[in-house]
Amino acid sequence: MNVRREIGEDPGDEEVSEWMLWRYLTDDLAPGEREQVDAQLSASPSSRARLAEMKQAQSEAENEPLPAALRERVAPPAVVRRLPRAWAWGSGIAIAAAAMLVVVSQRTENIGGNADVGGNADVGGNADIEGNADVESHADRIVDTTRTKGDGPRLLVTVRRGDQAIAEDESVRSLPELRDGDQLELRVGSLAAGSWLDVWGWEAQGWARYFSDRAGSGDVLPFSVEVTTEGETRLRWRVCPSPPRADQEAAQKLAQDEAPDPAGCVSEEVTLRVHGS
Amino acid sequence: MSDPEEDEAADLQRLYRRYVGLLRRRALRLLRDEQLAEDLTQEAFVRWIEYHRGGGSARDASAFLFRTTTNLALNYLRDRKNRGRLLDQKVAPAQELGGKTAGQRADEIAVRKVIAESDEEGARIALLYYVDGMNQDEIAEHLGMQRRTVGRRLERFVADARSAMGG
Repeated sequence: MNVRREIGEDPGDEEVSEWMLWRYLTDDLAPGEREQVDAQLSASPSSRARLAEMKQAQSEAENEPLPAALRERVAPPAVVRRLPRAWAWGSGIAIAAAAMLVVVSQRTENIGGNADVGGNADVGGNADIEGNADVESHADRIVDTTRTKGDGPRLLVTVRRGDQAIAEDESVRSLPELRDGDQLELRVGSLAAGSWLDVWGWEAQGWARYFSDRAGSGDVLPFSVEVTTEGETRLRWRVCPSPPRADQEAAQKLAQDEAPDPAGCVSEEVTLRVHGS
Repeated sequence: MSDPEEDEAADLQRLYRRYVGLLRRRALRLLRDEQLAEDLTQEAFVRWIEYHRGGGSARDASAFLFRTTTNLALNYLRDRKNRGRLLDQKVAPAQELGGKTAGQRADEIAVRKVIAESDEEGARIALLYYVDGMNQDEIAEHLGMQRRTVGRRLERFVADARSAMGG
């Protein structure tokens, strides 16, 4: 806090007040007031210096994106919903892929637990059910794993809006603005062969597993994700060198969004933010 | 057909870019703590959203954000829990004096102390007068009160400050 007047000092007109400088910079002054401030500024080097400092603060932030917390106040995040795969990307392929999206916020963290979570039975699909069975059957011979090299898989997304693909195999970082009803098809750009992939989506009751199986580069997920603006949208994926140990406690923590950290796995969670159409 | 949420988000983005740098600087000047200043800045925008949704005019944004930042900072400074922190900041190392004289520094300390201990309205007026350099007419207009009320409150503040300085 910088004191501009000493205690007991009489008001002086030589300096332009912070308030007037503020209004000057934000075009909040009437024409007559602006001329008056201009005159004061020409006679007050210290006021000009403060104005320059304020201008710099303003210009440094002129391209700042709106923080996610503020954006959420005005545009509720979207919800994802898994749909049966309606498009033909190589039918019957033993598929796998990782994907996640978009737009404003993204965080990386370790997600633990690969046992069934609530909602898994609801999401349908085939590969994940097989995958879960695989996890269970291999659980007793999973040992320690090694960390996936690099930054994790490169994720590619095709966005379909109605009959049109408005983005094809785009990086998750460069997608166009999503809208209510868009369908996302997910494919792995690069992933070490034989890696284990899990994908979850946040649904009304918690995390629902969408996919759990081995995956490799170029694989596509056997489902699409529909974007809506009904509620919260979160997607997670985890890549492990081998199937993580199935663990009931870990599954519960995951469902409660307090997942532990299995060794050797790389996980990401992304929140989709979508404008209504 | 435009989407109201989309429009609101776009308006807020424009407002944010226009004001956030200024708000952040102001909060930092008042609180001298970058994290606090950032928190306060975000809170000011949250208050704006609520105000705007409640019918507040977009034309009020400049004054609203300036005033809200001031009030939030004052609330923090005047919170009892923060007094200890405030006192710590008052005892600044010599290198923090910068271009200020010891007298100016002493005044700054006294102003902070009296602002922290003064009644809410008096503290707000003192901050606008001594820290922002507003004159009494500007304060009266900004706070929507009579100029002579501003003058009386300032006189009382000066008396308290002199007492705090032992003068």
